[in-house]
Amino acid sequence: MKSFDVWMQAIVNGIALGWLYVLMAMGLTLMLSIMGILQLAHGEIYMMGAFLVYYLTRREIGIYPAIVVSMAAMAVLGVILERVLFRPRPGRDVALTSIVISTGLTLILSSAAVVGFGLYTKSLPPLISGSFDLFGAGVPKDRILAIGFSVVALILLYTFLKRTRLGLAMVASAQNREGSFLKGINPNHMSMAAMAIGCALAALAGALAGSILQLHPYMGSLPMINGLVTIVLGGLGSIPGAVIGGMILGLLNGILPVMFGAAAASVAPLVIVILVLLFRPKGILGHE
Amino acid sequence: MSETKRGRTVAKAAAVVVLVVVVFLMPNILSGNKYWLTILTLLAINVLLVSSLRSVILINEISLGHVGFALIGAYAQALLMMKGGLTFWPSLILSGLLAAAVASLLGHPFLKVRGIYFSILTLLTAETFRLVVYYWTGLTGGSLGLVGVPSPEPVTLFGRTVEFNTVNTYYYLAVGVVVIALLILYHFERAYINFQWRAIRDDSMLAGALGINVVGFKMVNFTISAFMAGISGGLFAAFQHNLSPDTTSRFGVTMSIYLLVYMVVGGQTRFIGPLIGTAVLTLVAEATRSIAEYQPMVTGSIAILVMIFLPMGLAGIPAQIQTWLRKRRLRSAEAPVGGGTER
Repeated sequence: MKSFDVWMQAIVNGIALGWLYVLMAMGLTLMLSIMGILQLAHGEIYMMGAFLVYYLTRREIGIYPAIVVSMAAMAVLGVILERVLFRPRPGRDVALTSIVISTGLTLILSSAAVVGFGLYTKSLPPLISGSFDLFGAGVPKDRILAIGFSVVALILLYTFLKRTRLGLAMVASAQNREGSFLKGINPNHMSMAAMAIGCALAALAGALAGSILQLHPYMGSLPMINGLVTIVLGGLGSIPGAVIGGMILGLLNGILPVMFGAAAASVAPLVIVILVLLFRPKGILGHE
Repeated sequence: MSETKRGRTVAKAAAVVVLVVVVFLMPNILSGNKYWLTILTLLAINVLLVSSLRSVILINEISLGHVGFALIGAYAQALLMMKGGLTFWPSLILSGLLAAAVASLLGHPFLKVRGIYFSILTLLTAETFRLVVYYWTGLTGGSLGLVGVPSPEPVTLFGRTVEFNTVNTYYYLAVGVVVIALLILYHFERAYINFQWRAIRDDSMLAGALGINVVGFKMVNFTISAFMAGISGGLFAAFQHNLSPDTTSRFGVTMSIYLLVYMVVGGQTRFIGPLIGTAVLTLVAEATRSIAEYQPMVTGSIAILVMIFLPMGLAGIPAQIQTWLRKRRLRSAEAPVGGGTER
């Protein structure tokens, strides 16, 4: 029997991981529902965002300004990528085109990272050091702070999408591209906004992950896959669904390795996804 | 018209004959150069894997999980030969069948969802298989890898014993298996079942309304394609003699990406596409070996450029040139003097 301390840390780690997946899933779901593309290079945007924060903090810039700068830089990169690569071309299959272009981008960005940043793992300075006492178990503070940042970012995104004109226009464009175009909403502008927000969230997730975990040129692929699985679990376009899906995945990834060992834990996401799809093919909170 | 058609058939047959002769004599042409024969053998194995990936395109789904089925095939082949005590050929068939069985189990929940969801699920599947192999150290050796997969046992042919423990002979074995597998895949593409697949590809809702068992036929397709991926994995295992489940290994996400790029650069609408794409990009990779760390960048740029400028891939270049020439001829007929350059 493992001690209470270990369980508590596993749960907190799981929740922190889950929120990272939620952040990744929000960007991916915005791009998937507004642009109809599968952006497989999202994990590389996450990695680039994290490395940008690393190099900024090395230049004596505080970690919080560095995160903001990195989010802004990735948002600009997202707009450029949308304009140059992901703008739909007439007469092409959007799904295949986007998958191939984003995989090509993955190859370019990850090899650029290997060349530019090196293969050694690096780590960011912690957001905050020390731990506090929760029911007699030590919980590191930086995890809680990372969870807090993610929750704040998600609430901001939610209010943006529900309360502002641009956000409502994005939702409308996701629901019905042609209909909203007739109402004067330019789908290309909405795609740009989706890419900008998605890449900024990926940079935030990467920076938070970089302060909890480690930086590596290939660090992006697992969060990207888990972000996609979060979408499938929760249902496309549903923010509460993504939170539920992310929590399920994060807790599974946090607790199961402690309980059953890593081999059994690595099968769990696939099993959960299959179970959910058998009973609810649209995801837990998904709808047509 | 029939004259040109017959001419084209003759040209095609001649090209096939030349290709067969060149492939057969390749060890002699290269005078047993081990390096290039290794590359060619891997090329043949990759062509099979990419072709199996392409056969899922026939039902308008994009699989990112064929690396996972290749991994099942490779580890099944290795473990059946090393621990199961089986010989090469039965375990090759069994490893293909195992991959097919896993695919048919996963097919039911996966093929109910469509489009991008299917790609996501297959990506998750491949990564799950890799992680299971990575962590199940007792059976697979984990991150240290599985070392010492035996070569195929020697065969006595016309009173001569052929050993398969050198690259030179394994090349013939691999190419032979790959050609047979490709012929089977080609047969399916020309067989009656392809009508159902095409109906599903063009409009699965309409196909279902016409009484076609959409999920059933999709599952048949997915299972066949996973079988071929498993066979390619088995060939790989017996060729390389050691397997590793690392992120950067053959069974990581990056390889899924490479396979997709091979397919699309070659042209996913043609059967010959995977062969062309894999061959060209393998040659590009060899040409850029001196700048190895930039090599993924080159491949990625080629993929993006092909996707933007050549939607039908390299195999579609002749057709594109034809339409371009026809357009030019029409235009020059319309504007005889001085107006040829404007659009």
